[in-house]
Amino acid sequence: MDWSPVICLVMALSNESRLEVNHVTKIFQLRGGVFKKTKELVAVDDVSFSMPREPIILTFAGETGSGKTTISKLILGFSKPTSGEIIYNGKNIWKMSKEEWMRYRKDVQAVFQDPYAAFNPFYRVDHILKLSIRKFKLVNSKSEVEKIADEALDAVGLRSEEIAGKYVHQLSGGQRQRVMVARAFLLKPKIIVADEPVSMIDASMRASLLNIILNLKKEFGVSFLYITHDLSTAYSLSDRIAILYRGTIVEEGHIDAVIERPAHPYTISLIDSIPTPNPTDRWTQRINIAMDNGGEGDKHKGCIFYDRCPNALETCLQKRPGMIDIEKDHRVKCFR
Amino acid sequence: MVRFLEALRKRSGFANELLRNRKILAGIVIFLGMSLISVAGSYLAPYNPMRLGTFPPEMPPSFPAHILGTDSIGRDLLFLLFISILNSLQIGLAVAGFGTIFGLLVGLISAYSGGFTDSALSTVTDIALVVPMLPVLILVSSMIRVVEISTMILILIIFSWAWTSRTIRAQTLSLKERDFVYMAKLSGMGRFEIVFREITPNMISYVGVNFFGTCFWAITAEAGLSFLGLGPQTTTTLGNMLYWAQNYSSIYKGLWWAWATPIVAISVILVALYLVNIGLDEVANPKLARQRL
Amino acid sequence: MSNQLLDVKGLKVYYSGLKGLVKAVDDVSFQVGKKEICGIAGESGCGKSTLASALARLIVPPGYIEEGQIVFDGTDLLKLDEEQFREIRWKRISIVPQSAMNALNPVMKVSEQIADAITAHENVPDRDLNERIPELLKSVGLFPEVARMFPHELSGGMKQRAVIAMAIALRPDLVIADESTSALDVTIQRLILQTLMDLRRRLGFSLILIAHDMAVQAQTVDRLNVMYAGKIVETGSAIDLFKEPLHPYSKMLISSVPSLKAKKIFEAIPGLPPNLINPPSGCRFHPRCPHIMDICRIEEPKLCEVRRNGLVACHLFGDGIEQRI
Repeated sequence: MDWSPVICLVMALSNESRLEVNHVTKIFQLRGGVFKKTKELVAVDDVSFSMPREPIILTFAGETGSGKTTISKLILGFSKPTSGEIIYNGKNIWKMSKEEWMRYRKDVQAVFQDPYAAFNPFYRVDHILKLSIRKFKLVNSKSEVEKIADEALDAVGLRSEEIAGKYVHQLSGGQRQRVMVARAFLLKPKIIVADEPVSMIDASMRASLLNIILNLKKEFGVSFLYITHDLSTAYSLSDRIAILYRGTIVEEGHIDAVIERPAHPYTISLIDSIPTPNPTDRWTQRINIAMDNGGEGDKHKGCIFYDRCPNALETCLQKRPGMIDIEKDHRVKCFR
Repeated sequence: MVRFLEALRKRSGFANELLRNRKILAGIVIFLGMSLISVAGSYLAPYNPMRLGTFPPEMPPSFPAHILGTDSIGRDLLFLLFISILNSLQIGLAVAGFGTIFGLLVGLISAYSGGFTDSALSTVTDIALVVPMLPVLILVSSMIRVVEISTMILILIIFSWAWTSRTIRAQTLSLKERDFVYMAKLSGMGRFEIVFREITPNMISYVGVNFFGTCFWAITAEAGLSFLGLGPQTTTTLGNMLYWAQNYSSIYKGLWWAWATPIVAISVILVALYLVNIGLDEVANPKLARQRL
Repeated sequence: MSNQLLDVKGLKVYYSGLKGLVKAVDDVSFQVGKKEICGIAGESGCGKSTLASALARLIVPPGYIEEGQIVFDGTDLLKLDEEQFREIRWKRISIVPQSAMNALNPVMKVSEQIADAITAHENVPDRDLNERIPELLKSVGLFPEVARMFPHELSGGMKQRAVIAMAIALRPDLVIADESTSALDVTIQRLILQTLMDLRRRLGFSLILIAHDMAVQAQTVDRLNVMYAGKIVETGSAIDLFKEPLHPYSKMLISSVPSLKAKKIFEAIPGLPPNLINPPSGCRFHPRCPHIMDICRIEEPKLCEVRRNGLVACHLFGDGIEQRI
């Protein structure tokens, strides 16, 4: 029997990415008041990337204002892109039917930055776990609800006795965050969007949470979209990385390539500004970031990093650079 | 719904906090005390206290026949007081209850829906806020022959819901951007479910404060309107007592029991409500609570 | 010693809470020299912010100072009354509180707020203010136009700089910076630290830098105190401490900082943060310490000098005899 068409199909399916973000742009209209015109804020500018079927951890690194939170909201379907599409398993998420959308919700989950705010202070912490189980009809009987909840807690290293019957304020930051991860993991998602999951947790507990993320990927095959401003955790955690600046990806590729051989001047300054715990290795150069005038300065059509770039050329002012391949799995949006 | 009440009951910590607060306790005790006495008292009346001319008019207080004296149209003041208190409280609670529920619904729906619904409902709310109560009331009472308690309640509800609606709307707007709402969405909750099961429980203190505030306002408004003669004429209320007292120049004639009685009663009720309000504020606002220690 | 600016001895700051007495700062002693940058590191809940507030005498009920001395340039600050302390506050000691960016009054212009800070402690005529404020703003790296702006028009980094300007307005001898860079992006953080260092070099004040980020501490301070559960567990020069941390907690804190030079597995500190109402018996770190010995559960270690200018409170070192410099 000729298996080749089947093999081709299987190969095609496995090569196709699970989640594709195509040229997504999100523009917010700000009301300027009675006498000012409506201002536009371009939060996300023509961003494209994809998450393959194999489990990976992709980091989106950027500072405040880079658009990373907006991107997470777009992917989670809380916000609609102004232009561009978000395709999951071949279907545009805004064109999905109700069942397909529930499927999407189940497959793509999230963990947020503030572990305290993510819980409704009125209910106990297991409320959110039981809710997810019920809503997605994971089980058929009530007794199984407890079992699944316990399994999820176990996967993040919590014992159900530890958190049973407690309210948010009775748990530590690390515990809260773990419960959030448990909730996301409960639904056995394919992708978890983690928006700054450790920035509000003490240093001593960060490591355990990051280890949980690694474990979930290794043992259960969950991909992560890790959004952060802290490159150092990203280095040891992720497989690939994309650097965001003011809504565009300025550099992306394999984590080793980007961190060890950064090409974009923004990436370079970002890496350089990270303090190292070594007093003999102090910053020698002074940096001089141009005064932030609230984003008013990018009325020109050129590269958005022009204002801060130490190597700016004439062309940078006139044209937007496109993504250029530097080496294997390493691309940069810069003319140099 | 059952689950909501369950959650409410289980949240015994919160309920405990409420009852432990001295102000709330004092307020509730006074309130309940007055209600119970009035209920008991009105049942004990061996005759219809509202029938005119039962007793010699304008008699000063004497024990044991007329503990609070009689008014200018021959009614015993003590039993009159009981019935008036009950009626006034009834008006206050009814207006507070319906007004708050209505305001809550409008505020919630307005804030959560956003867009056109929000604009439309907000405009309606603003209009309700701006319309002046007194001229409308004078108009209404000139058109209706007899004003009953239910009419009064209805009118007061119409003027009271708007304030609650605005506060609730503001609070909902801020709550709906909170992370736990996003979490609920991610867990598959639908819009209405989110509004009632996630957002509303966090607004209990606001609803409570609004409820007691509206009650306060309603009782005061009723007293004032009845005093002007615009109130219910079929039965007696505290404001009504004041109206009759004023009508027969009790102050000039020195019949202090006729006008002092309703005033003291109103004051006590209002103080009780105010105490509950402040107490609720203390419990709900953690900063104030900390200072108490 | 004439080189010493601040000498804190046995400071205890407690909060009387619903569930009991919270011993936020429990018997803390350390010194800060003139023109020295002193760091206080530790995680949330270790008491460093309470310590900062105590130094500026900003503790409000239900917190109170149980005992201790804060000797600033020869005078015990805790023995001064409110009037006398007003002479010191802001003019000689100033503080940039935690989340200071959120402490800016949103309805007042920046210049008005700086003016307020100045005139509350010194009588300065308006004319002088109009000259001093732009100078101040320039010294922290802000354009003079910022004076006319409102806080919401500024970015996070600019707000932080405005608050720093307020803190140095009266040229104090000691500036306490409580988590001044925690909420900022990494490039802005570097800029702010650079600004602080520049100012310090120019104006010559001592700086107490409170931060949980060990890397930030390493890049800026001369001496470092590590706090845990309301106590100082190690102190020493930055170079010594980072090269060879002695206390197990310091060691773990430093190694938990991820690096960009090599990939390493994430090392966690096991256990939960300590309960300050009922702290663990003996050494407060013992439930989480990998080198725990029997004595650690029973007896609390005292700070002893293990190397030059370096003190550790741990039963692994020293012989329990307290020594002070």
